[in-house]
Amino acid sequence: MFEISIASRHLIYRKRQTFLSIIAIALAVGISIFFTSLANGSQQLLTEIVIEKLPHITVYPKEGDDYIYLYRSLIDKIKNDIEVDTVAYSLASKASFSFKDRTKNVLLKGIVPKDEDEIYQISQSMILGNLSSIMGGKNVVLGRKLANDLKLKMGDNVEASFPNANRAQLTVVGIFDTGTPLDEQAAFVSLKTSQGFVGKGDIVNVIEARLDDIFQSNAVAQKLKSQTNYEAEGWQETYPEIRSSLAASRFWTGITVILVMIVAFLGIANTMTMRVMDKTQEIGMLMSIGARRLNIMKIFLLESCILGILGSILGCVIGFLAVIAVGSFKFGIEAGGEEITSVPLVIIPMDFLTYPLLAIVLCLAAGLYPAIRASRLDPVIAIRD
Amino acid sequence: MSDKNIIEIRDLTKIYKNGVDVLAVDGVNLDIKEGEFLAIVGPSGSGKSTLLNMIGLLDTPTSGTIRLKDVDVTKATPDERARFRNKELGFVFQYHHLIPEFSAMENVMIPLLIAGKNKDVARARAQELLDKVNLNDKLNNRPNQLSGGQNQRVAVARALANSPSVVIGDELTGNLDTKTSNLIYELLRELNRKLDQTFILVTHDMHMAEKTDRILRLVDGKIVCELKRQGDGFIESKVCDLGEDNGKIRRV
Ligand SMILES: Nc1ncnc2c1ncn2[C@@H]1O[C@H](COP(=O)(O)OP(=O)(O)OP(=O)(O)O)[C@@H](O)[C@H]1O
Ligand SMILES: [Mg+2]
Repeated sequence: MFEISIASRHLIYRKRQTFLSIIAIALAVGISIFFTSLANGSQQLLTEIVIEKLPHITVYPKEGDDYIYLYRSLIDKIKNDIEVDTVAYSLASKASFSFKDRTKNVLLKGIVPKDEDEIYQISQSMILGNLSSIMGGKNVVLGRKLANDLKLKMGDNVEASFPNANRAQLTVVGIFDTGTPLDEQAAFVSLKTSQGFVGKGDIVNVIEARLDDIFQSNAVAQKLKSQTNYEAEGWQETYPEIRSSLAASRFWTGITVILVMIVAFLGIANTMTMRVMDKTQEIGMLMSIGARRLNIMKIFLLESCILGILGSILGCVIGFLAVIAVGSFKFGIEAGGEEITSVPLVIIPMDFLTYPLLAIVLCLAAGLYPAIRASRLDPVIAIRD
Repeated sequence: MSDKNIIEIRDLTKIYKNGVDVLAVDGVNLDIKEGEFLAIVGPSGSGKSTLLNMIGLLDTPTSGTIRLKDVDVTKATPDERARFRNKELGFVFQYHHLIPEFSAMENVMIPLLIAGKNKDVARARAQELLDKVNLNDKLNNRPNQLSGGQNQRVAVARALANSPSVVIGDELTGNLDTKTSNLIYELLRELNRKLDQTFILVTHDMHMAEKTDRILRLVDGKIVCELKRQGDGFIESKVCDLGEDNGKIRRV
């Protein structure tokens, strides 16, 4: 393989050009790895929120109905046939809360505290009182922002009024702070209490469930819908903003990767074209002493391949160090009820294989045209030039 | 020099067709014997390089044939031609065209490596050849660490690497001063004698041409004169129109 010694000698003696090309590829690989880790990190953060704090599947009444009447058998069916373990049922209705001269619209949800906790983890977010206290009569637990807006304190009696039911007095027995929109909108009473307000007997209007694999939720919802005729949707439909934010972060990462790879591709294509031009006479000479077209092509393809490999290795190091450096930078913000203390970054080992491979393939592609041109030179003209 | 023809050229013609036709080589017939030391002279544009490039399989004739060691090379495929250039032909150009990043030794090794020889064999052969051109003390020098004449000697060693049937030189001393040119020609003469190596050399310089055994004069793509060495001088073997060079030749 005399081609490789010629190729590597060319690279060594063109230090500046070689160095710049390697840097271009390294940046492309490093930036790709870094931004992918960032996207992975925010995806993980969002999925954790979905997994821990939100229902994965929500079941509503059949089309045309306002309530789920036979909810116990439906829940049995869900548990047995669809094999979903964690299920909570509730009766939610719109209400408005008044205290002294203040009034606010709320979503009043009649729940079974233990079940609801499995889905929303309210108990963990209680700052005053506890969730199970709603079981002892006409008691309510509400979000911190809602309580602040109404100037409610523990033990206060708030007046709840409904579109289709009589007013009622509810005693504040707990306040929670989840860091989500629930804090401003939601109030919990016992299922019995809210069934009392509605006055239609033992009914619910929402069933929520959790799955082991959140990315199965659409499929499971579809299955539920076709087997039971109840309306069912996955979290992607219930919380479209989460889905679109996941999609957006993937989209922008993709755009970033494509752009930096294009820049690296053009850089290598340019470098290789210049190299072939610089080496025209040498190519003519090599042909005159018996090098075949394939030999000439190999020399220049090897050069771009070596640039790709070295650039990729450096790029992996740069990407890894960037992730470590940015990841160790500490601060405190709150998002989704969780305190984030550093930029969420998740490294996937596969990225250290895919991006270098992509870069090497691009380098070969960028070197292909100049290499073919080199191999097609007319030796007589090449030597004279 | 043996009686065997190593090259037989018949009715060789080259017409360049770039808009206007240029008849660069016009029906040349020429036999070259094994071990011959041959010079081709002629005015600028007379077709010397064109003829040489066709003999060297770098260029293809428009018509006519070249037989190299009884093989019609005009019909060879590109890969076969590359193999012939590697094994049967050696080139020395006006500029040495050494690879600047390689040492003298490595430059001489390249044709051997292209031929598929392993590195050790190639290294030993390169050393032997650089010894033959009196550069055994410069093996590891790169072209920019050598003089013009030394580089041209490395190029000669490279041309000899695979023991070619013919070494072709186009103005190979065109860039050197007279003294250095003389040394190179003496070296080639020595190699010709010692190795029975065939040389075909194109030159502008009659003094250099006179160091050979046979001088061909090319005008407008035709051989118009042939002179053969006889002792210290030359005799015309056919009617000659020596043009500007007339009178410069020592005749018997
Ligand atoms: N690639 C080409 N295309 C067109 N015409 C060419 C080409 N190469 C050479 N010629 C023409 O062919 C003729 C012979 O050229 P050639 O280079 O063989 O001459 P030469 O005897 O080597 O001249 P010099 O002594 O100046 O090197 C010239 O008229 C030249 O212009
Ligand atoms: Mg010429």
